[in-house]
Amino acid sequence: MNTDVIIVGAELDAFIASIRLQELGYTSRVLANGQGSYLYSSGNIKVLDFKENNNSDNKTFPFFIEGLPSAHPYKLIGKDNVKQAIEWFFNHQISNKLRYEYFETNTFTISPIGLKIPSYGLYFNQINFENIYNKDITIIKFQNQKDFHAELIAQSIKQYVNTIEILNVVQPDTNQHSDSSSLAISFDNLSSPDNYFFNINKKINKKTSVVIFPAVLGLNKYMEIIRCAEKTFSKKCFEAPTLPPSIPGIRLNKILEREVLKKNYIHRGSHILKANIENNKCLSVVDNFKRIIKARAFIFANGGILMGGIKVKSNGEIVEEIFDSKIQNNNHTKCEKSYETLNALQTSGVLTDNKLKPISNSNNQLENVFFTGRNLSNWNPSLELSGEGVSIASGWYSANNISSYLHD
Amino acid sequence: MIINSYQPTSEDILKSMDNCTKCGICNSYCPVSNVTNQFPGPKYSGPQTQRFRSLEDLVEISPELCNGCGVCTSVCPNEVAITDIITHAKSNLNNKNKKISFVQTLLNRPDTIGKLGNIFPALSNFILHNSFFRYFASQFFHLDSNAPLPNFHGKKFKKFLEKIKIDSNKKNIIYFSGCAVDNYDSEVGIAVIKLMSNLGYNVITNTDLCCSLPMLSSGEWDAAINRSKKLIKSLSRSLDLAEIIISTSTSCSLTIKKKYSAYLNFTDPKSAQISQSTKDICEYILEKHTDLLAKRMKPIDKKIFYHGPCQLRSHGIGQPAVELLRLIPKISLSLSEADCCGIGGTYGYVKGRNEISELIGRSLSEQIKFHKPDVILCDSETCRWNIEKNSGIKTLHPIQIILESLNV
Repeated sequence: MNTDVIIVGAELDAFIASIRLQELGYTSRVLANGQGSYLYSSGNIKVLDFKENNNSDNKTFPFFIEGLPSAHPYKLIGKDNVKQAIEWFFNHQISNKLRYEYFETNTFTISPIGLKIPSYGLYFNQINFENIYNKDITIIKFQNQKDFHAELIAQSIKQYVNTIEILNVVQPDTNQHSDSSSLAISFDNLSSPDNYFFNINKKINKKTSVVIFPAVLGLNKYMEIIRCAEKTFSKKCFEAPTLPPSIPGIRLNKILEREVLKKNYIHRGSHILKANIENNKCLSVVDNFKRIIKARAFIFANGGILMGGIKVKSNGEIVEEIFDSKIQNNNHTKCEKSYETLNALQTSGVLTDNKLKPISNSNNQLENVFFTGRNLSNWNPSLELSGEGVSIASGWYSANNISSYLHD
Repeated sequence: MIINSYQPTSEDILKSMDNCTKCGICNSYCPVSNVTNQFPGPKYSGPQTQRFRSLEDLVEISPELCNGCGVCTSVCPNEVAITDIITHAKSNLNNKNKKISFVQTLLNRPDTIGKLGNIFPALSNFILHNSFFRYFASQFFHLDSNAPLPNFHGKKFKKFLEKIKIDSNKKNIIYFSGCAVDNYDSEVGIAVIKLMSNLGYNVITNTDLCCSLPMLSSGEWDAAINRSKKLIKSLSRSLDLAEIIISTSTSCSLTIKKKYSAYLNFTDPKSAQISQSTKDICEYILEKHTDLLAKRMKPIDKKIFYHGPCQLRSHGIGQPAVELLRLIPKISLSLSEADCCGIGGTYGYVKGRNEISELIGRSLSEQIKFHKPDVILCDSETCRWNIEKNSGIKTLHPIQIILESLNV
C-alpha cells in the first residue's frame, strides 16, 4: 500500500492530478466512493463563459479570467498556471485519444436541449455551430431512445441552417434500447456497421450535407463507427449530446482511468472518515474498512456538497469534517432555508491559500493537504460554465505543488 | 449511513435505498442492462422497486436477471447497496413466490457435485464434456450447452496436503480453499501452499467447506443458513491457531467478509471475527511481503493479460494482484478494461442467460484478441473457466505466476 500521494475522489480533477503526478515521478492511489459524475458531462471542455458583446481583448483565454473575483480558484492558481494547465491537457495523449480540438476563444456547441453552449474544447466530431451554418441538415433519431430530443435541437438551430429534417431510424439491434449507454454498447457490438449505415443512407435526403447523430455511436469504437458513417453517406457526420447518461462523458472517464491505471491504483468503495494529523502534517487517512492509509501528501478532489467532500448537517451548517476547514458560501455558512441548499450546492467550498491548501477553523495550516475542483470556494461552475477548466487547472496545479513540497 | 463497512446487516442494506438520488449512474454501468432490455437495470430493480416490496409480495422476474457482479454498488456515489437490495429480492426467505429451478439447485451445490464427480474423475470428465450429455442436459435440465464447465481433478489437492509437515517455528495462517480448489482447481491450492510456505508460514487448510455463495446469490437462502453456520464454526475453530484466513476466490472471501451479515444477519462475535480476519491472498501478501517479493522475483518471459473480476471491486482494495505483478522485473502486463467477464458465478450456466453472459463478455474477448497474451490471469475461478473457454488461452490465478517468478 506504499504510495506517495492519496487522492480522494474520482472526478476530472482527481484523475488529472494523478496523471500529472505520474508525469512528475510520483505514485498515487485514488480512493473513491463511486464512479464520478462523468455521465452528466457532455464531454466538451468549458473553461469560462464570456459575453458575446464583450470587447475582443477579453475573448481570448486566459485573459478573460482577469475580471473574476480575487478569491476565485483561477485567481488563486494564477493566469499563467491556468494557461499552462489547459494547454498541458490539450497536448496530452488523453486529449489525443478523444481528438480534442481547442480554440483561441470559445466556440459554440449544442446542449442536449438545443441551447448554445460556449466551449473551449470539443471532442472528436462533436457538433459545433461553425459546422452547420447555412447547411442542409439531417438529424438522426433512434426509435425508442428516450434521452435525445431531436425536435428541441432542430428548433434551436433552424435559424442558422438552410434546411433541417429529422429522420427516424431503427436501432442497430432488436433490443429497443431506451437509454444512451445500452444504445452505445449496441453500436460497439454491431458486426457490420457499413450495412447498417447503408440502409440509413437510402432514407437520407440527397440535399443533406451534414448528418447529426445523438452522441451514442459506440462507447469504445466511436471513431471507427463515425468514419464508417461518413464514408457510407459521403457526408460530414457529427454527434450532439444526449441527456444523461452522456456517452462522451463516459468515454472521457474511461480514457482518464486507463491513463491512471498505467502505474497507479483506484480503490472504489473507499470512503474517508478521518485523518491523522501531527505537527500540521497529515500522516494518514482512515477509511470505512478501518484501514489506515499512509502517504506523503493528500489531495481532496471529492467534489463539494453533492459528492461528499463538504456536508450540510441537519441543522443547516455547512462543514468540511475531515480537516475542519473554513467554508465559504457567499458569506453564509448555514443553509437555514430549503432554497438555500441549491445555492450552497453551487457556491459552497473550502477556503484555501494560493497553493490550494485548506485554511482550517483552528488556523493551523496543513503542509501536505490540497483541495481541488468543486471542493474549492468562490466559483460557480453552473453560472460561469467553467467546470472542466477549474477541475483541470486545480488538479494539475495541486500535483505541481505536491511535487515542489515533496522535492523540498 | 456507511454501507461499505464490514458487516452491514440486512436492515442496513435495505435502508440504504433511501440514499438513492436517482442519478442513474448504476444503470449506465450495469453490464446486464447495457446488453439486454429484459433487465430494467439496477436502479429500477433495486432501490425503486424495493419501496413496493416492503408493502406486498411482488411477482417479478427482473431480480433473477441481475448477475450479481456488484458494479452498480461500486459506481454508486451515495453508498446504496444496490446489488444486495436486488439479491434480497431473490431470496426465498423474503419472497414466498420464489421458486428455484432444478438446474440452479444443482449449480448451488458445487461441493456435492465435486465429491460425486471426483469418485471417478476421468469418467465424470468424459460425461461432462460429451456433446450428447451437453445436449441432453441443455434440453432437460436447462444447463446451457455453452456453459464453461470445469474438469474434476480427483483427490490431487488433498493428496498434496497429506505431505505437508507442520513446523512449530513458523507462523500459522489459515487457507480457506473452497469447493473450487478442492474439486476443480487443485493447482491453485498447491500454489498457495508452496508460496505461503516459502514466505514462512504453516498453512492450515480448511477443505470440504463451501461458503454457499451460489445459494445466496440465486435466492436459496433457507438452505444456505445451515451450511454457512457450518463454515463459520469450522473457521472459528481454526482461528484458535492463527489470526488470518486467506482465500484465493474473490467471491468466496467477499461472502465471508460481507454477505453473511448482509443477507443472513450473522453478526455474532464469531462471525464478526471471521469477517474481519478474512483476506484476499494478494491483499495479504501485498500488505506483508511486498519488499521481500520485490527483491526475489525474477523476470518472466510471457505476455500477461490481467482481468480483475467484478467481485474484486466490492472488496474496496483496488487490484492487489496487479500491484504484486508489477514487482516482477520487466513484466509485460496489460490490463482488462472490462467490468465483468459476463459469467456472474453460476448465472451464465443457465439456458437463456448464457446469451446475456456472452454479450457482456464480448468487450473482454475483443481486448484479449487485441493483446494476444500468452497467459490470462484472474483471481476468480468461474471467470477463469469462462475466459479460457471463450479465448482458448490458458488462464491462471495471479499467485501461480508470482510463484513462477519466485522460482519455488
